[in-house]
Amino acid sequence: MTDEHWESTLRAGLATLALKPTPDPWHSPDDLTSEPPPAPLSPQGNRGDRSTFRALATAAVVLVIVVVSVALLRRDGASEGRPADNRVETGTTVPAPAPAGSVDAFGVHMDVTTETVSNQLVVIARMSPEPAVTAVATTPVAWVERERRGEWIPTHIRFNAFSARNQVICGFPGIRSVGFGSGVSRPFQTGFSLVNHSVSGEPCTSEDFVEQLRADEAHLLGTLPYGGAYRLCRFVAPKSSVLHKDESQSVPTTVAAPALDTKLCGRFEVTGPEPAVTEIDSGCPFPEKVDDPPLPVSGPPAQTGTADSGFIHRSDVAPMTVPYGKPAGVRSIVVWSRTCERIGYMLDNIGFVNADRYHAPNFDPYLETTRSQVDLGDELRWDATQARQVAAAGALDGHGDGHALGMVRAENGAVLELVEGAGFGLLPEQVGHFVGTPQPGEDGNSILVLGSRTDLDLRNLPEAAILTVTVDGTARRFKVVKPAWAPEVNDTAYLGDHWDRRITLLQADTTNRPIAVQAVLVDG
Amino acid sequence: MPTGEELGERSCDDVGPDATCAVPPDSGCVTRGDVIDVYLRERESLFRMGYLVCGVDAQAQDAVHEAFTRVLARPEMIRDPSKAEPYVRSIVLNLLRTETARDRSRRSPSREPDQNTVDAATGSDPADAFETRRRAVLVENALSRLTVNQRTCVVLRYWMDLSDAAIAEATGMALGTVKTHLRRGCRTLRGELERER
Repeated sequence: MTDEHWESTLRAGLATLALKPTPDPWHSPDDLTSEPPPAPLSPQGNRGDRSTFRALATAAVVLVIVVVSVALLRRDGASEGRPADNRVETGTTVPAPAPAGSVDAFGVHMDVTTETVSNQLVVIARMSPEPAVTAVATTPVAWVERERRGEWIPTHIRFNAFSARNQVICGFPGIRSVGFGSGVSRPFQTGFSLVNHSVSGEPCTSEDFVEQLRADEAHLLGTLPYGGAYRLCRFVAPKSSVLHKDESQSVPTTVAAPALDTKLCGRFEVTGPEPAVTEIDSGCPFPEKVDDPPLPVSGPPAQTGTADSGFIHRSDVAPMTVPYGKPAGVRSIVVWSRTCERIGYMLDNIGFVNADRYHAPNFDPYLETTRSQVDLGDELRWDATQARQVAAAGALDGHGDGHALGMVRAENGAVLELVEGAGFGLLPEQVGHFVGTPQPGEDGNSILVLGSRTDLDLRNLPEAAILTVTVDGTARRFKVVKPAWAPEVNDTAYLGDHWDRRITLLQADTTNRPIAVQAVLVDG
Repeated sequence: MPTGEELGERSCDDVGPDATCAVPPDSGCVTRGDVIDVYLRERESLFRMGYLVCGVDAQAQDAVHEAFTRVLARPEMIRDPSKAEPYVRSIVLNLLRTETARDRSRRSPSREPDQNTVDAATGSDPADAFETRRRAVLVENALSRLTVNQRTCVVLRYWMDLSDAAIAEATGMALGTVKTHLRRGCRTLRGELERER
C-alpha cells in the first residue's frame, strides 16, 4: 500500500464515518443561553498557551473545590437554598405481591420507595392498581451539582418493570425547558416516544412534548407502557443553566398520572450514592427461575439444523437456559416486536451506548416490526436473569397484542432462550418469520437469517464476494456463497448487517422465509 | 437562521460587573452572541469531529453541548472572537479525551458501523455501498487501535486538515508530542489497514 493509497483510504474512511451519526435535534440557542449557573466550572479545554503543568494544577484545584462542595452538600442540604419540605421521608413499603400466575399478577399492590439520598434527591412512590399516583421527587439542583462534578449519571433510577400497561410518570417541577440532542436527553426521546402512545393517546411530535415540558406545571418525563428498564437520569440538557434558573422551584411533587390501565410488577432500583432498591416479586409473567415451566409456545415442531425450514423453537433452546441469577456470559439481547421503534428506544435507554436497532417495515406484511439488539458487551455485565427479563419486557408488547419475541444470546452467539410475548402467543408462522436457522460456518460462526432489511442486493454482488465482518472487534472477511436452495427466495435476498459473532443475512421479500447462505472464512 | 445578535444577546457593553472581560467593548471581546453564532455555524462540524475522536455519537454530542454551555457561561473569557471556535473545539476535544480515557476500560475496543452508516454517502450503487462500508469498517477498526491522543491527532490532521501547530494549539499538546502521536498513530493505522485489506 503506497503512502498515497493508505492516506486516501484513511481520508475516505474518515469522511464516511463522519457521516455516520445523525445528530439528534439540537438545542435551540434559547436553551443554551439560559441564565448561567452561579458557579460554573471553568472550561477545561486546553488553550493553546496552557501548559500541562497548569492544566494539572487547575484540575487539582477543581478537585479540591469539588470535595469541599460535596462535604458541604452532605452536611447541610438546607444551605443550598432548597425549601425544607424538599426532603422526602425515608421509608420503604413493599406489600406482599400478588399471587404469581393469577390474572392479578399484573396489578401489583405496592407502595414503593421513598428515599432520601444524601439529602439530594429522590424518588418514587408507586401505585397500582388504582388510578395511578406516581410521585417522583427530586432536587434538580443536586443533579446539576453532580453533573457538574462530572458524574455521568448523578442518580440512577432504574425500572425493571414488566407489564402490559406499566407506566411511570415523573414530575420535575421547575424544569422549564429541555433540550434534545445528546445522550443526556435520550430519556426524553423515550419520553416523548412513549408519551405519544400511552398518555395522550394521540400521536404527538417531539415539539409537542417540549411544549409540555416547558409548561410551569409538573412535567411528564417518561412512561413505560410496556415495561422494561428505563434510565431516567441524565436528562439535564442544557444541564446546569436551566436547572439552576429554577432552583427555587425544585420541590418534590406528586403527579397524578392519567387513569390508564396502569399495572405493574417488577423491580425498582434507585442507584446513587446511597442506593435504594425495592424488589417486587409480583409474579411477572415470564420465567424467573430455571425450573419454571417454559412458556407455552405454539409453533411448528423443532426443525433447527435443517437448511430450509428450521424455526428455532423454545424446546430447542431450553436446555441452554442459563441458571437463574448466575452470570452466564450473556452477550446480547435481541428483541423483536412489531411495536415499531419504541422497544428500540427502550433498549436504547437502559444503559447501552451501542444498542442497535432498526426498522423492518416490510417484515410483516401487515405490521411494522422492529428488531432491537442490545449488545451487552462488558459494560454492564448483566447476568442471564436480567438479560432475560429485559428480553421478556421487550417481548411484552405494549399493545397487548403480542407477536413479539425476545431472545437471549450467549457470548458465543448461541441462543440461550427465547421469550415470547407472554400471554399473547405467537402464531406458528410468525415464529418462523422472526428467527431463521443458524447455519454454522466453517469457522464455527453461524449465520442467522432474519427478517427484512434492505441493504445490499446479493444479486449485485460479484460472485464469491468478500464480506468484511467485525467479529469481536476484529474485521474478518467472509466469502459469501449464494445459496443453491430456494432460489425463489434468494432472488430477493439482501445481505447486510453484521452481528457480533454472526453474519446476519436478511431477506426483504414479504415471505420472510429463511435463507440458507454459506459463509466461508477466507482468512484470518 | 437568526444570529446571536438577533437573538438579543448582550454585547461587551452590557457584560455584568462581575464579568472578567477587561477588554474595551470595541476591541473585539467575545459576546454570547458570538458564541451562539459559532454554535449555529459549527455545532455539527464539531459533533462529527467529536464522533471521529471518540466513536460514540451521544458522547460527542454531549461534549459539544457541554463545551458550548461552558463557554456561554463566561464568553468574555475569550478575548479574540476569531478564537471562539478553536476555543470551543479545544474544550470538546479535552472533554472527549478525558471521557474516552476514563471509559476506555468499559468500552468495547471497536464499534461496528451500523446499517445507517453510509447511506448518505453511498448512493444507490450496491457495489459502491459495499466498498464504502468495507472501507468504513476498516478505518473504524483501525482507529480503535489508537490511543485517544493518537486518534485525536489523526482526526484533526486527516479529517480537519489542521497543521501540526494547529493541532498542538487545539489539543494543548506540545508540537513535538503532536508529531509523535501522529507518527505512531499513522504507523499503527497503516499497519492495520494493510493487514485488513
